[in-house]
Amino acid sequence: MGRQLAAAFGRVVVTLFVASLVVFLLLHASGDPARLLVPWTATPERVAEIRSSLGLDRPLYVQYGKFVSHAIRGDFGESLVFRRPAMEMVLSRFPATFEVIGVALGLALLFGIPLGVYSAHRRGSWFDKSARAFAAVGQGIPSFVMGIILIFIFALGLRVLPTSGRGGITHLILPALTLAIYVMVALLRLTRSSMIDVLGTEYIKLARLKGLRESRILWRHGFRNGAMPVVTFAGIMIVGMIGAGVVVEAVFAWPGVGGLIVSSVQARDFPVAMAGVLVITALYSVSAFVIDLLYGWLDPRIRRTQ
Amino acid sequence: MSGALDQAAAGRSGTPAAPGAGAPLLEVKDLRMHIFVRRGEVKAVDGVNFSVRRGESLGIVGESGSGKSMTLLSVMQVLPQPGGRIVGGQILFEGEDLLRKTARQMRDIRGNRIAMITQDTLASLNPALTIGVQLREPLEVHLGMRGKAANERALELLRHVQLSDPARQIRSYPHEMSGGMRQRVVGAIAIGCKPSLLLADEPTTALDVTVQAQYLRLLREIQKETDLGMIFVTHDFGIVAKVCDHVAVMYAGRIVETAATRELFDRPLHPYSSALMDCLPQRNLDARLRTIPGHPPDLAQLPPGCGFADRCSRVHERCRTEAPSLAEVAPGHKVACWDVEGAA
Repeated sequence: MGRQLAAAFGRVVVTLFVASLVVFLLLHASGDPARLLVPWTATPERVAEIRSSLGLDRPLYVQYGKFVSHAIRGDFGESLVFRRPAMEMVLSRFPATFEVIGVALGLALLFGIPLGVYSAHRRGSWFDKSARAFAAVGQGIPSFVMGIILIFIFALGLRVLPTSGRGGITHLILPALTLAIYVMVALLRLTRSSMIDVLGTEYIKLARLKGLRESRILWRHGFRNGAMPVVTFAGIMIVGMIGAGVVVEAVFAWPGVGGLIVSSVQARDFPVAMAGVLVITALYSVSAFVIDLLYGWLDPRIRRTQ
Repeated sequence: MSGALDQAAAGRSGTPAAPGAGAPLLEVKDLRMHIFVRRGEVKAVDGVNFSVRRGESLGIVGESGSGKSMTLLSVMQVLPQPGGRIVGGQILFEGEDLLRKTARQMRDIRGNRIAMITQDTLASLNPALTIGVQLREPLEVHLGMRGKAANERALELLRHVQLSDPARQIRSYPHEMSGGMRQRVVGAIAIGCKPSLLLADEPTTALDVTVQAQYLRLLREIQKETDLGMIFVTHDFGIVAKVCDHVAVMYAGRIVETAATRELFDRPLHPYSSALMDCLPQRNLDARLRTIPGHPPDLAQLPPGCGFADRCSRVHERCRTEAPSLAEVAPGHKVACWDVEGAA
């Protein structure tokens, strides 16, 4: 376990380094932030002055070196636009983001997995057909359309939920549901196909021949073995939903981290964009590590080689 | 054999009857299991009759796809899904018709009073669960054993199938064991609840020859100890000769000939039976390997007459229009063929 943790930590550091370099280069290729910070009437001298005050006139490798050396000490610079510490701005958005993602993932797992398992179990039945139709519709409708449909039904039609903004639990339901549906149907389909393979195996046949209950056959003998792709996808989606959430944040005026990163890229607010990307990359690495641990728990054949 | 296993057996079945005495343990009458698929109705088991007594073993022989495994799975009512359905017949086990049982009642019989060893025993163990968990499951479900008692019993079963170092093996996973060991574990699971009937579906095909022989000996011993009725599905006449008292030859979902093992080996009457025996490799190296020309018929489009007619060297006009049924031609020897004197 100790060695495993050390190796994982090493991987996280390498990943962060590579990701920051790529994003750094892409951001700098996107244009000059100094131009956006001054009125369009400003003289070239004034633009140059701003540029040099921000250090943007130095060679790229010098700028990147400076970024890395500061970042290691926990200093991610200030927002070029708001003059506030970049990391603080990013982190302050996370509670709102995790709220939505947490609820959405919970809903997706709670409904997606059992629907997938029973769909596979009752393959070809009406239940299976309806579940698959639901999955096709859920995957086919883009989340901004889904969000607007839900607003029309629950906020404008039934008037039971607020249209937008962040507040109590009622504000959370629609954005979380919008985000959940996509992940839920993807989980449903993954679980279904994985379980169809598992249910055709000899060990499931033997479990039946032993006289076990159907629920025990499906979950303890079946899903345990079919859970791998599901775990992988769910783990990736925890972080992936930050990106997918951008659209949902826009529809529901939800103050999440995805929107912040998008607007910081648009404004060429490099420090904020860099800080955001680094945090998300770190989260990806952590969830990949947790997925690895879960693999070992699910499949003893992997445990030994780890 | 150990005391606890004896007691479990005595507790269930009272005084064990002498082998072969009394009513049959299992009597299958005109069993039909069809699989409904898009291209039609596959008659996987098409009117099968046989019976097994306590302490007796029946071999069911035939090519792959002849319905042997499906017959066993039908007895267990674990059918291929989707589409598999028993459409007719009776399965009398200890005098009760299993086809009249509810799903729940059937679950209580499966793995308990009737156990089955499946075809691909190497893949039969769940890779994610320890041997111990898989061994204890039927004990917990059927006998209500828990904790230490279940564990003791599981260890005892592993010793019973002569697995070395049971205390260690009980905590290991299937992938940590050899094929022969896994085979023994599957056997141990099957006899865990002291079944009175054991169905074995090609239990040794995945094993090499020496391990095969050991395993067969072990099954034979277990059978003698507990007065078990056994059905052995195989395509290997060698196994039949070693293990079985009676043989049924299956072709295209039907039994075409059945007799005592000795009798069938000495005097195979059905052309398919004798063709199968001619395919056995001889010890004479110069002899060419023989095969049966042609293929078994499509079970979704069975011809009206005898299923073997197209491959038969003794085919008559009548064979193509009318299917022969089993008829007794000598005491205990039945055959379904128009070409056999006194049959059909």
